Amino acid sequence: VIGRIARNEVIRIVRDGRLRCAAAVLVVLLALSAWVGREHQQTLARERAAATEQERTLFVGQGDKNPHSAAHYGTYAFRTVPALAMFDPGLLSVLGTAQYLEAHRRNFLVGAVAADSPVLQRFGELSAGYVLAVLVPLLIFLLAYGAFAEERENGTLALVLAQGVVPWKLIVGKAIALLAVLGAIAGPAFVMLAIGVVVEDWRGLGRLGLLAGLYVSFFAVLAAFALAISASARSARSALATLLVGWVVLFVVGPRIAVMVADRLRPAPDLGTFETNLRAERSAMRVPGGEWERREKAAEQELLASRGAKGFEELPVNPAGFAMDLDEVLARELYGKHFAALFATQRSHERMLAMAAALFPVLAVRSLSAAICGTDLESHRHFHESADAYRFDVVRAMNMAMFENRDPSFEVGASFYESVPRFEYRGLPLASVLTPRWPEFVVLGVLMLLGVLVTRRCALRLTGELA
Amino acid sequence: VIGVIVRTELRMLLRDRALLGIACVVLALSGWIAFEGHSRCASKIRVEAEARTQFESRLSEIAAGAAEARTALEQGQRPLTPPAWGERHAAFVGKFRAKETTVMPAAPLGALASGASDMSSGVFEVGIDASDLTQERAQLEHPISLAIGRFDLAFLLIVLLPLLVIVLSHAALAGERASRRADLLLAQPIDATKLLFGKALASVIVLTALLLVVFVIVGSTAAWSTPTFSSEGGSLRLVVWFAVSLAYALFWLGLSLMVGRSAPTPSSSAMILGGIYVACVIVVPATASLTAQAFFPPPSRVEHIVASRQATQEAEKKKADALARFYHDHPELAEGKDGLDETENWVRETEAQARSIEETLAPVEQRFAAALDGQRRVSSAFAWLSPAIAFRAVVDDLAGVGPARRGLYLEAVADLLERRREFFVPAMLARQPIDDLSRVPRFEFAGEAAGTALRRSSDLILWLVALAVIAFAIALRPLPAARFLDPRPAAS
Repeated sequence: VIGRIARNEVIRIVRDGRLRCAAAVLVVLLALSAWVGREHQQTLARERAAATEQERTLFVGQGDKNPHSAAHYGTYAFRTVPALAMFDPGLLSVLGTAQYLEAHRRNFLVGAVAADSPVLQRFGELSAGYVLAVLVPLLIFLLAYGAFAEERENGTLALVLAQGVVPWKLIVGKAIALLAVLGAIAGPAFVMLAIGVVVEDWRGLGRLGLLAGLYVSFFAVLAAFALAISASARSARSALATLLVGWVVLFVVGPRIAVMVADRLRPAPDLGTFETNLRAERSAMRVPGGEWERREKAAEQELLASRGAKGFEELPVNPAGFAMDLDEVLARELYGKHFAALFATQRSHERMLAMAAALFPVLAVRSLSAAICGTDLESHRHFHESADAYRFDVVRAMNMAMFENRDPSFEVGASFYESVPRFEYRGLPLASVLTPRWPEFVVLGVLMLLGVLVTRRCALRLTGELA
Repeated sequence: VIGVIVRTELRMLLRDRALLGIACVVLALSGWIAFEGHSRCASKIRVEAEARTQFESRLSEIAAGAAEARTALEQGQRPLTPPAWGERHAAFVGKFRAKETTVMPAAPLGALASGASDMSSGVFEVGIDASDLTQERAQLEHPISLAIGRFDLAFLLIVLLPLLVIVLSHAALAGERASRRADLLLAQPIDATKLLFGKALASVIVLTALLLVVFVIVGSTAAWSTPTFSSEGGSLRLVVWFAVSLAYALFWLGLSLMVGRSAPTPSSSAMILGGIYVACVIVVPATASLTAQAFFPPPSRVEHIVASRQATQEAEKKKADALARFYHDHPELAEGKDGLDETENWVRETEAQARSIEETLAPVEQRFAAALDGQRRVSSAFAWLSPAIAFRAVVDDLAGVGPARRGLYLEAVADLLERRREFFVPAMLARQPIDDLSRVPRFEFAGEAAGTALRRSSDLILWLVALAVIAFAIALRPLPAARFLDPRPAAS
């Protein structure tokens, strides 16, 4: 019975010219966004791989100089573009692309693509992820609004129920039909992306499977609610009006309001304040008898004890290198503390948005989708921290090279630079990305449960209607 | 007759609870937008004021340090020139200690639209090197906010106003037709075209009144949110913004009436209008953005960084050449160069190298700027594709949050660098002390007159007005009575 209901529902949808047209538009948009997404991702990946190579050549060819000067010359780490960015570029365009790694400082990533993009960018990036999370729900509402309401208006609903069709089977059949139509629309784009991902990195297929699961469950929830509204509306017109207004509120207006409320409750510090606080704390450490002096003495004694000497003059070393190294260690601690506070603000902002997802579920879906694709903020922070850890190791190696040579005019050259390992970034493992996203999973779980309850209530209502 | 139709229609519209509800929501949202916009501007103004105060207090500190150094020299009966490194040295002051933090002043209507202004911090630290202009401070705004975008007046008007217009007018004709009231109406001595005209006029009155209230709420807040409101012609910008919003609303109204002329039922009218709305406001802009990204992408920042690094390294490697060229350009300084102390040698070497890097980098920077400019020009052509994109481009420009005003700001920052160089560099090379810090050039940004912004956007403004006129002309053309009536036989 369910199969027959689903088949009839598919026929109803396919026969409606307006729905055919809307579905065709979405198929084109999805294919276009998947194709452009793939091209864009590959261009970015190629460009950054080439830049990394060129930067390495520059680093190795910087010429003979004092090791600490080489540390100041530094290098750039370019943000890698995960293969699945072709599906959902997430926050990549608003986040920086390159991190300058130099002595004494932990820099932010610079060169966000969105800053150079025109007005158009503010209308949203048309990625496959955006189409699935924002536009496909609109199609679901358009497909579902008449499922019961139109049949009731035509009188066919009463006929079907009078033939003894169990209401829940009717609902399930219609929902299956909706999902089948959506599958036909989104399927080709997913296959295209799967091919793209396999070519790039086959391990991305697992993540793509997870994405498919995420979107199918999201669509199922939306279909359940849309069918329930169709079943309880007085007319097809009021079902359509409710669903359209619902879409605008839930998908277009709501997320912006949620973000602004979160911004107000936990505002991000401006960079001026961030840097002023950092500088002030750094100066406070350097006052006579302060933290710097205390740490310097302790480190000096420890080093001398380990080498069995009473003073630096007994050793073939350059004390300036020791001072630079200590400064690097303290600066890293200081920057670490301030960046941790900044990231804590960001994380609490994300938590607030996860809670807001209970009202506007698209927030949860977009957040999880970006997380699975490795284009979310957590992945970005991980890249930033990994690049800084690399910076610290390289700068320390250079400071130690300076320290171990008593001659103040000592210089390092190409062979030393070549011995410095390259920055190899391994993305965050999926489990580490998804674990902090548990509130979004809870929201989706609750929504699915609500979907089941709503379907049950809808079935009861239909039974009542027959009586 | 039209007067009676308009009055009746107005009465009906004002009785429509759904419409009143949506109007109340729009007004409440306007209030919230005004409040949010005001606090955003206030925080920008605070940052700007802090930067200025900090700069002035730094100058005072330097002046005090310089006076102390001078006194010490006088007491020790030592020569006052050339200055040793420190508060009296032009390189120390201009290059390091007295860098001025420039903050882009809040836009004249910045409380109402954020455009792309939140994508970059608009903060530079200007010393005396050209490289200072390439190092804009990072933007700490929450990335999710940047990606999702703000709920401001521009968004409210682009996205919600058309919906309000559709709710207001989708049933104007189709409702009468479907409810068979059209039969009764036309049985009276009323012409269908006049009826259509009366209904359109009533909707125009309601929309104008609503927009006026919205603009009074947000405009009065915007007027005292930023000092640039008065200096950059905020009132005129606001009036034009109101007029453009009205044109945008009338375009949607015209479209809605056009659809209503033939739609059999209000729901089919709503369905068609909903489709056009989603296409114009969501799909076309997003597709245009995608096309721009695919075929006319902005120049690569990554490649630009590498090109700059290459240029810098090349210049560094030619350090000796750069110094030789420097003395060639400044023969007056070459005399006695061998007797200079380490500091002065460093000053000249650094200056020579900075100029060399600047020269090598100039073509790289120019190429990048030209590519960016070309990309902007191409993508601005997309504004003609959808009234939503055109409206956004116009209001962003009028509000002062578009690329044009940022371009002016960047010019002002470059001008400050130039004036600082003129002030510090000759003193630095001639080994003259900087004793009068009140003459240190300060950042000046005059902004832009409203007329200039208006002239720049005039083509798109005319396009929006033309779209409204065309939509209205098509919608209000004579309506034969037969087309107003439902052709289906009445149910018994």
